[in-house]
Amino acid sequence: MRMPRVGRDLSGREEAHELPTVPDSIAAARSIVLDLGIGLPHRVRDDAALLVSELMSNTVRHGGDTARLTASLRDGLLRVAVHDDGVGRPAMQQTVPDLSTTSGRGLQIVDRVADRWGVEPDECGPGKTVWFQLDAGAAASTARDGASGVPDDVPSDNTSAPAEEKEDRSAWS
Amino acid sequence: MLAGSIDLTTRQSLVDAGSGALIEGALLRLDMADVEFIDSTGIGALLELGRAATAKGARLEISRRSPRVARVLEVTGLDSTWPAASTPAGSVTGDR
Repeated sequence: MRMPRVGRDLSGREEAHELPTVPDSIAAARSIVLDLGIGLPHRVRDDAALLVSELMSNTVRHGGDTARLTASLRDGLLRVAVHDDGVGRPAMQQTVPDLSTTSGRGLQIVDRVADRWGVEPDECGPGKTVWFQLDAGAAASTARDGASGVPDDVPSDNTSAPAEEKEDRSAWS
Repeated sequence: MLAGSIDLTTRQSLVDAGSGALIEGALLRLDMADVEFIDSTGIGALLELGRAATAKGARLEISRRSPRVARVLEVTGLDSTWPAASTPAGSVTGDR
């Protein structure tokens, strides 16, 4: 299911993958992000998997033929981006979906769970990159180096996601 | 009893199986204890199933929510409005 790896920089913990925009790629993207986040607190890893699932689901529904997934863990920041060539742009709904609405919650989840996120249109061409960032904690940058890593069972609190700094969304439709 | 991941790949089979199990006047209880992953697409499937239940005069209950199910329901604000409110007193409802 997983596509050939485009590149992997072990020292920087960065991954880049080309994925076909088919439903199976959603789980593949989750696996890639979960693997990258090994050693991080459960909460961060699981939230990252949730967010990349939302991004890939959007791409599978509205994107082009291929998505490029990049994920990096550096300086305690987990950053994941999904690029596709489709013309569709993610759009936040102006109102919170009610119980009668069975879709439209993807970006709501991204907005509430990600510490930062945004959409960057391609400079040339119709495509765009949707990205998010999670603060994985100060110790995260060494988490995969071995014994000094943060145990995977670090208790995570149950408070809601940080609501502070969010990206400038002026570019969104 | 549901298990595994509920996303775009699996949502339709959940809706189909759940709809097929609805009986007028009866409660369909979805045991979510072993659901390892759910995203907004999966939430949409639960909502669709809830609507199907209402249309058929049945009820749907999302019980024994795994941590990931609870997290996504919390983030979407559905934990307070979803039929969990109709969960009968005394039944097992996971960690909430």
